[in-house]
Amino acid sequence: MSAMLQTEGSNILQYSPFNSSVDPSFWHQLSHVKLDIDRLEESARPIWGYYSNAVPPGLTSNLHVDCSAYNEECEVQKPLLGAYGILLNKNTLETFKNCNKIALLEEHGQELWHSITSGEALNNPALLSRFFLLTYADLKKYHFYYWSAFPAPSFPIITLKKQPLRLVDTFSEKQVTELARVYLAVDDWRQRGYFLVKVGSDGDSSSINIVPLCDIKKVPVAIPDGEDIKKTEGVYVGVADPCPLPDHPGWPLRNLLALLSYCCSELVGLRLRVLCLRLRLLPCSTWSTKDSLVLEVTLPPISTTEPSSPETTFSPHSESEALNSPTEMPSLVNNTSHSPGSKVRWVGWERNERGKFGPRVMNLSSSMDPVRLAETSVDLNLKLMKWRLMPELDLDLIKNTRCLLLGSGTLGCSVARTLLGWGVRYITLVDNGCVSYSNPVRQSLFTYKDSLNSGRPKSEAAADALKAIFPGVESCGVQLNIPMPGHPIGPSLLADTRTNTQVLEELIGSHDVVFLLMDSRESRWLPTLIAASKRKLVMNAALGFDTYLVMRHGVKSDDAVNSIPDCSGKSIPGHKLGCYFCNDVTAPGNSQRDRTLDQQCTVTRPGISAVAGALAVELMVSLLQHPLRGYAPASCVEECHSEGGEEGSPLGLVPHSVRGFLAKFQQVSLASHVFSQCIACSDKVLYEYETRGFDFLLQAFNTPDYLEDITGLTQLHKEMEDAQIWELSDSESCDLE
Amino acid sequence: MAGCVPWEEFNRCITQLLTISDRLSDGWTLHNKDAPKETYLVKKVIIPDTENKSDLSPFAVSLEEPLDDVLEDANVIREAGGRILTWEYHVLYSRSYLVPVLYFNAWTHDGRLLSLEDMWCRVHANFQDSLQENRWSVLTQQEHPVLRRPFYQLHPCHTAQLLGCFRGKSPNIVITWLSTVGPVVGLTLPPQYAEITSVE
Ligand SMILES: [Zn+2]
Repeated sequence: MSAMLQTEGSNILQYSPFNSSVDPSFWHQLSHVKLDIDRLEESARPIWGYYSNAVPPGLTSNLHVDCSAYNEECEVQKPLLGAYGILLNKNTLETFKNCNKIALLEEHGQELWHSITSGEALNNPALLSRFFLLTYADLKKYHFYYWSAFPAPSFPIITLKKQPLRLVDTFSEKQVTELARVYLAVDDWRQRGYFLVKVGSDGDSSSINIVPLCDIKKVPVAIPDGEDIKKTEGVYVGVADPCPLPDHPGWPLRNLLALLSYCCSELVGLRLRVLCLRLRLLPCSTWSTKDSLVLEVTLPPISTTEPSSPETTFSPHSESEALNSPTEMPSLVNNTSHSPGSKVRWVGWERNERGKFGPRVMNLSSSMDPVRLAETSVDLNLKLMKWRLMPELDLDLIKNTRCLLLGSGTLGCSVARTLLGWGVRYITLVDNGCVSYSNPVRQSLFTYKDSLNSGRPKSEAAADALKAIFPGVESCGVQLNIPMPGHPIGPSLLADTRTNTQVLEELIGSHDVVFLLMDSRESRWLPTLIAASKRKLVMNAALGFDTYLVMRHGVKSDDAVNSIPDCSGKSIPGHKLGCYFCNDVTAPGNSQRDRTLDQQCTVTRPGISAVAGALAVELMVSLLQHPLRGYAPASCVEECHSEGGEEGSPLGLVPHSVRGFLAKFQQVSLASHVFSQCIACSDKVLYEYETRGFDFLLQAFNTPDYLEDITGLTQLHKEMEDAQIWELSDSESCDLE
Repeated sequence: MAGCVPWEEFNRCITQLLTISDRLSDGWTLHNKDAPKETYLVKKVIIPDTENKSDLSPFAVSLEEPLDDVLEDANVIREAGGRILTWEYHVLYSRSYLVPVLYFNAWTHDGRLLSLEDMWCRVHANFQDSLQENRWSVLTQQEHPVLRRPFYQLHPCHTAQLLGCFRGKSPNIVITWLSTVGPVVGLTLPPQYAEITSVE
């Protein structure tokens, strides 16, 4: 017995309400109907719901709706039962919120009342199983708001004189199985929800029959005076009961008793046997009805069942609500006068998860939003690699690494696409050029259209292309001129240069990895310096005609990371690895001034940028998976294959630089030390930059030999003539005028 | 391969499965009947959900209405609403592997699909050990070929091999296969399926 029954001191029959259970497929279908058929139409649409009276303990009575709700005919499989529903989908959250909920309930209660008073519900008792669903679909966010109601009149109030019995206490073992058999033999679901059960007087199990409810006046339903409810024989009023609680029937009985008290006034005051039929699948996979309840119900006289007139008018609450939305007021006022339904108070709005009257929300963005679906698939693809081959792979680390790509040409495009493949979500592309007619065939993020009308800015076009490929990426394009040493800044360019430097500093500061993918050596100097100062990981890729260089810059250590052993010639720790300029003995002067046209315009074999770009990303990923990240040591010995063991990256070696020679289809990994007189990463230069800032940079831009002077290279230079210098360039925008 | 199932045989098998299901009220239904070569079987199973709790969003709370007085009702018992977990099993035919494939999904009361990790945790304990080695090649997430939504799948790459073992011994190879692989993901077929098929 529930606490409430005891405290009130009387055994009022209490029903367990339905819980609505809306299947995601219902919303898929609703979106389709909304977008393709209903559009802005807000009219009520009939739908089907279903429930089951085979509910195992631990569950509650659920009324389900799924994609079959929109079918013309209700196609429920045994043992399920259909329910008549109405879908009211509102176009806006405002109308969803403001519509008068009490008026709606009254309106739909009237429909039910009509089925009862017209006698229609005796012939098709399934009309008693009714619900309506008020919804609002936010199809931009894939959030679905819904609030269900299961209208029922607030009468009759039944007082139970006896505890409900379990059927197994009055029926024999054979009878509980036989009842399940004859019940499940009823093919029309409309007659399976509310029915009569005739149990033969000879105690023979074979004489259990299911009789349609409409025969109620033809069979003796009332229990004869003095007869005990425990006597098995007789006619039972049957209801398919979706509630698994031991003491309470579910919602359907409520409307059935309302129907009987209105349509069968001759039964009022008499004792009735009510059988709340519950199915249970036994371990041997046969159905039993042993958990069904038997109630002895006496229908109260009709006069006490209908509430008195004060309650028949609208409460002040519903009136004030009605003022907000006059259109929501149905034609109630017109048919109040004579219909008994108007005097009936209706209940049945569902409470939310907190037990309050309010809607529920279903967020289906993860299964409906195509952008989310694409993201899930991309991640899943990478996870399969982790699950199947490399459990130690930290994919989130890669995904959350912010990558800055300086240069959006052939290398930039190739790097960006490979980053996408690894699931990287934050990619910023920088360039100062526009897409030319020759670009799209080699620069994989552009199409012919991008080169029309003097060409779209490359950084912007590339960022857009990344989003078009994968909308889950947060890509951004920045058009920027990177100031270069030895390229004097005139007064007119001073402000711009200052701004550009600042932008570059901010960009490098807000990213984790900086890719140097430009087409000239000089333009790599400033970002190398800034990134060294900010301790960022730098991946560098440069191209010759049929050669490429991919390298990671050493990362300066703040505290003496000297604890990391310098493995005596076998490997170099990450903080002692050189940068792109460390191997040079000459500062990057104005190569474009000093060189002939032929040298200025390096052309490359078309496949080489894809190779180098992909390698740069793979090197970054291997490095990120190494416990020491940028401080990971690089092997100096080409043959060393022992690295990548327990203490290394699960992906294998993390070389300092990789040089490739396409003419021989050869590739070598090399490692080299940081150069104490490097014009981009030496302590001297970093000190000047960190203390003097832009003033120092300006001097480096304007004075050709300044960097060589302060690093002592000028001195060194005198001693080393004709140094072999790798000249690599990514440019292929060859203007052979 | 010996284990391949021609479409016609698949079709005959699922028709028989449906007949038995109807007889037992076991709940299998045929979907997508309009596209005869893409029909598939569906069964929905609802179980109590003891693990997943969902908090109502503050926004949903703001939509609550003070209707307690108007809707006062002495005839209702208010129990703590038991949450449910809905499992849906689909038996499709794979044209690439020429075998039946089991797709399935499970979602909580508020519509959240269980993740692949959740799924794996729910794989029946009896099977976890034997599947551990290539767990993700067996259980994967795929787009449902008809519904085009993410579904989980018991990958069909080994199905033909498995079915090869049943050849000649089973009158209904789909039922035999389903009662073998289904339990891995919580789907059991009552023994009557086997009894009825062997009688016929
Ligand atoms: Zn350096």
